[in-house]
Amino acid sequence: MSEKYDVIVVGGGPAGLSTAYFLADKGYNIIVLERGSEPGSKNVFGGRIYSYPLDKYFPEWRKDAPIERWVRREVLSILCKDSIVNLEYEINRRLNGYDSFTAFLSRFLKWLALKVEEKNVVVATNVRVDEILFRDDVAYGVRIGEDKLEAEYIVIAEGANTLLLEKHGLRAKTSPRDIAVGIKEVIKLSREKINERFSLRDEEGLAQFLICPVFGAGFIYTMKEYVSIGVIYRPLFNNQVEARDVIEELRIHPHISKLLGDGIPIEYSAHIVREAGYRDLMHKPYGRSYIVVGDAAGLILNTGFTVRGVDLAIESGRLAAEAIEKTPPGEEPTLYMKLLQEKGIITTLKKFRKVSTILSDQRIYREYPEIICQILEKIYTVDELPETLNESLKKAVGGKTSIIRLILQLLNMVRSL
Amino acid sequence: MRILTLVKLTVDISQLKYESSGDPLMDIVPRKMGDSDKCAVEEAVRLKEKYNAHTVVVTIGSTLDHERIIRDAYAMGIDEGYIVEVDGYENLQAITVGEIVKSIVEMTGPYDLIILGAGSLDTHSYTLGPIIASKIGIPVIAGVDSLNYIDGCFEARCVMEDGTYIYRSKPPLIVTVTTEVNEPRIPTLKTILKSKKMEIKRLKIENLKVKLEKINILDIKRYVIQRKNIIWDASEDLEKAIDNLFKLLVSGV
Repeated sequence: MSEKYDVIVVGGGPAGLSTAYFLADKGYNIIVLERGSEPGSKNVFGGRIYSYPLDKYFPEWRKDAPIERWVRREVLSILCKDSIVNLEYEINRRLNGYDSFTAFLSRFLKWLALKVEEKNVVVATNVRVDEILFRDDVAYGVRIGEDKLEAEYIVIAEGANTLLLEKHGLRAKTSPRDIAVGIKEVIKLSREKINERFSLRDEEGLAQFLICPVFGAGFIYTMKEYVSIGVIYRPLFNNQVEARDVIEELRIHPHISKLLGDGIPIEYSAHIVREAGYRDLMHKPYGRSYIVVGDAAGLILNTGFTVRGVDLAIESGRLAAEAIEKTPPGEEPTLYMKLLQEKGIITTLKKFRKVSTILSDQRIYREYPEIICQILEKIYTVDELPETLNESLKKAVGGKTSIIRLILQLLNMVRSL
Repeated sequence: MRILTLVKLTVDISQLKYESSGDPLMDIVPRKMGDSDKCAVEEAVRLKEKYNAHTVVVTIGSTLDHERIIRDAYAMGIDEGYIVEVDGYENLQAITVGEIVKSIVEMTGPYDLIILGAGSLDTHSYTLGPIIASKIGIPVIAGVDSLNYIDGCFEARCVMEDGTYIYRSKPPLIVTVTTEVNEPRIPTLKTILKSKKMEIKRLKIENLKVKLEKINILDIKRYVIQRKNIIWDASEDLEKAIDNLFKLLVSGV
């Protein structure tokens, strides 16, 4: 092929497009290769994006980015068989003053792709990269079917499913214990019903994190006229429900069906989610003439209360662009890791490193929720023989574990979060 | 040889979702180049490869999706593309579309062949080919399942219920194709990259000599088949139930 690019970006997700965006400002000739029919078509995404990196790098973004609702209500819920326990945090600010917003990632990435194309970056879709081409450990291009494309730098932004990196032995094979399956449904509901049922005003949204003995972890995000619900399914758990049925279980739960029962499911999707946190982070997300950004590098953070991916993807894209600019082709962009450390991204991931261990502990989803639901049920049930909190606790814990052990476990958990 | 291909942006009906009331959710359904239009593009490109034809594509509307389908056609191998910019493209009458095409042919023609899909995915009216033919005054062969060019003549085969019809016509000619005519190619990286850099010419509807007539779409409803709901209890007398069923089927329900 006659044409040669300065940089080939493999993957048109948040990380790939951001890298292209920042590199374009530095005058590089860039091509983004996306496997799907359009940017974002292969992503599965809960629904929340944190706005701080957008404020920093896309000053005009609030004007035209496809924001659905600003997250005002944050809810952590324990769903038991027929009851729900909520911990709710709500803050009133002026609109635009909230830290995060809900969005359809596909629409958001279309918007980002337009910004990137405005900078004369070519975003080619329906193109699957089969192989990164190396010459003496230096990446010099990609193979797409029969075609080859060469460049001075390759940015690998292939997302959570790291097939290319694994193929070239740049990353250990993904183990089932490091991943979960995100299964999501988008449900159509009128704006009025969403506002009323989730007590929101027009532009305000809800982000709800669910813990449930039946299916594990789940989420709810409200869009303008849609509600996105999903489950984080862990294949290695002793699951009572098959992955394909799990979203149904969520939808027919009395609490959820009350909210969404008359909605129409319009979209169903599933994708692997990298859940191992710091353990999963690539120690060397770069090599001679290549650099790895976003989910592919393990830059995804679950703090136990919030899940961050898109903002880290954008940030890593910016740092990768800076590292590429300052590293001559053929050399290792060691600056990238330095920048990730300087900006506190690595430290943050490290700080929350124990969370993934906690989140992959079945007791979080099975035992504790049931204990909490039972205690509250006892406390709020009024009959002739009321129980003290202590009695309820003893009954709820029952033979499962001793109270002292339970307290120790909980303490340990809190210390890790 | 010069070939004009017409492509329409239609809803991707395979991805249509419905409200509980049965109303389709039109605002979220993805749009794409119509299936038979894509076959028309492929057929044009095959003729180009065989006979070194110059191929032109036109679409009507001014959304980003319209630009996308022109680039899709470029990636398949079309040489030149036009977008006729008009708001409310979904409400255009087939007759108006015919006039627009006539006007484009006058501006950019002449063409030996105008090729398009037989029926669009959304309206299925199958009228556009014949309308253009009557506006321009050239012959049309509609619903073509295979197309050849032999000794200066186009030869088209149409498989109908009562047999296969073979038509021959000298250019200029209009042909509408079914999805049987070919299997559209999947663009390669090379052609996708090339398509990104190609120019798309834009024509304002005001500059075409067209009387703009629009239709009002009052409602879009799901197509529901009414069931007869005839039920026989076969637990008592199976023979009789089968007999009844047979009689009903013979009577032609």
